[in-house]
Amino acid sequence: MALDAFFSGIELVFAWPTIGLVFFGVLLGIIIGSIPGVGAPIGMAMLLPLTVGMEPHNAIIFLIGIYSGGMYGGSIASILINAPGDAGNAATTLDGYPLTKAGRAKDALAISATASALMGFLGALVVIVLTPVLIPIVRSFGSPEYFLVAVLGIALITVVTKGAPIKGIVAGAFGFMISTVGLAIMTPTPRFTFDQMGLYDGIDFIAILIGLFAVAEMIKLSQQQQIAGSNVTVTGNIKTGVKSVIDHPVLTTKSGLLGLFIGMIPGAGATTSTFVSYAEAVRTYTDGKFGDGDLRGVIATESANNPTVSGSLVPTIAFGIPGSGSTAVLLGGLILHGLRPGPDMFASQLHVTYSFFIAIFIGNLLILAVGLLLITRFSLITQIDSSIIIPIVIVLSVLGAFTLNRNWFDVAAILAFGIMGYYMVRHNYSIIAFILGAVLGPIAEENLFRSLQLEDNWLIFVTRPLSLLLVILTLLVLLGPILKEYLHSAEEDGDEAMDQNLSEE
Amino acid sequence: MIGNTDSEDMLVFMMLMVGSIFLLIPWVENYATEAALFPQLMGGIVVVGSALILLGDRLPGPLEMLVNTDVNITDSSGEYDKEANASEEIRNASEKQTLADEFGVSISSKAFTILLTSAFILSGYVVGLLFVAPLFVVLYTLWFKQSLRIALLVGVISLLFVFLFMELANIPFDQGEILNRGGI
Repeated sequence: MALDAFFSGIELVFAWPTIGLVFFGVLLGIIIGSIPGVGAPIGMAMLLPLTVGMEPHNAIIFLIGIYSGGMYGGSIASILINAPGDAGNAATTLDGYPLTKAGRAKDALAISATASALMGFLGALVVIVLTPVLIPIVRSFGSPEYFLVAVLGIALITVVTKGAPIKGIVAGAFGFMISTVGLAIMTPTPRFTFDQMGLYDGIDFIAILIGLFAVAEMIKLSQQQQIAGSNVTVTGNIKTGVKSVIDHPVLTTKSGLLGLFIGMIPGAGATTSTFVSYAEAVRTYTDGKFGDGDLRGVIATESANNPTVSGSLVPTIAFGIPGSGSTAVLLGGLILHGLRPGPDMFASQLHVTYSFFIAIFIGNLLILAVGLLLITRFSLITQIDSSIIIPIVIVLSVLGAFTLNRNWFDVAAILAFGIMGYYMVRHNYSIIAFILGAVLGPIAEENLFRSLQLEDNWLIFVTRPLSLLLVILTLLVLLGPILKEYLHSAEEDGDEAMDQNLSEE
Repeated sequence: MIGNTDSEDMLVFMMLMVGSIFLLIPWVENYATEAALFPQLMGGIVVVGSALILLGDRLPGPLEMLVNTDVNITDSSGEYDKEANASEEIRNASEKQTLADEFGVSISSKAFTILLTSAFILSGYVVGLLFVAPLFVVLYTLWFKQSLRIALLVGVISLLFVFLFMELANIPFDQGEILNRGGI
């Protein structure tokens, strides 16, 4: 069955216009990703409303193309002007920019294209091979488990992002809460609409996504000094860059696999995977000049970022838990187009799921070709001033928000959530947890109700083995690090008291 | 200028207020149990969580840790992260040059962006986004001391985007909700 679905997936991807959308998405992603201050999530959020008329698989493949291309494109701005297009590319600046300063920008860009593409292939391949293993796991989940997985997802996100866990919990619950505006799911009761017709359909989660990613980021960008590079000289040698990747197969593969598996952890996106891979490279090669333009530093981070795309799609598609900002937007895209994360994506829609990974596979070919052939042209994109980018992004965001439902509440929502998102990021409140709540709210509420209908009491969440396991995992994730910290400080207090007693004696 | 602590307190207080609304309205308006349970459950978590954050250091031992302990298990915020953030800090250190300097007006770029965006949305609602989008873009770029030629070019690009949306999504962006209701 999995093999049939795989071949159907290949047919889907190579049909027209799907294959065109793969290429268009990747190209667009590279361009958007390389604009300083704009990353894949912003581009995806702005363009999401325009996918409404597309076939579901075409829309998602287009978005995945942007995601994949954006991941590579972000490294261009990191290497050339020390301004990552996205947080996931921040680690590339550490050695990429010193290489540019040393006149080896072409080497670094060639490493980026080669390592991203090769490991992108590997990531997609591993996930395609692993999919049959995932099928029985995903199908064993029922309503109680899916509700608990949403809760576990938020718990995981709170501990992989900065800040105290309570902030993540509040952000996630706030998102769930906002998703309840409009007609109730189980009964036709209008909730929190204040007799406004425009609120009967609720606040569109796409508007929330646009606000939290695009508008919030533009407010932040407006405060920063000019980050575009006005005087970038792209010199160096492409062949040396490609060769250095081929000469380091262990580092490349290890970083790629790290990127893939870290990407699979809900909440841990490319930011985590690239920094972990970089740290691992620093630990392994003690003779390195990391931070001063070591090619291996760029290999480590660039090998890790593109496989993270494939890895982070696994929890997104299987359980609806996004691994990063981009996958949070992608999750919104899946739901917008009626593709509900969970068992269906691994049963009747398995061919569609395969088509996503095959599209990543194909997209990486384009990354390699474009990356190596057009390297010297990219410096032009990085020179766009942020005061030109900001109004254009805001106009596109407003147009996109109104296009969703022709509802001015959605337009107002992008501004309100944009301002809120700006302050949330500033004070370490996870916007991914917020988005997860807002996007998965209706599904979580429905699953909560179905679960309670099954047994009519809350014990259903602890009487089924899988549910109980998820409850324990959630508690461990949330309370484990705090208990550890508490016990550690108690131990230190005890030691201090003992020392004091001894000195008194 | 709102300081860091104050703006966080305001954010949390806003969450607390909104959470209270979601907690109380289902009781006040007598929602059916099916409709009330989930928003009240989430509203309750938001209210309790926000209250704990606001109380912060005044909480006893384990509760205080829940609020103040950073438990980032994938702690990549070592020296590398600090280095990567350094360039951003440098960029944040000083504000952009704007027309405010010439007019002697004291307004931050952030406040200007929020105010002009609000005015753009409001005027778009009144007369239609087609007319105000290029104006917004031109004003914004001129404020940040771009040349008139660039400002006009970006204004034309924004106009093209509006036409693209009108064409692809068939949205009447030439119509306002209060004035110009018939469009052009």
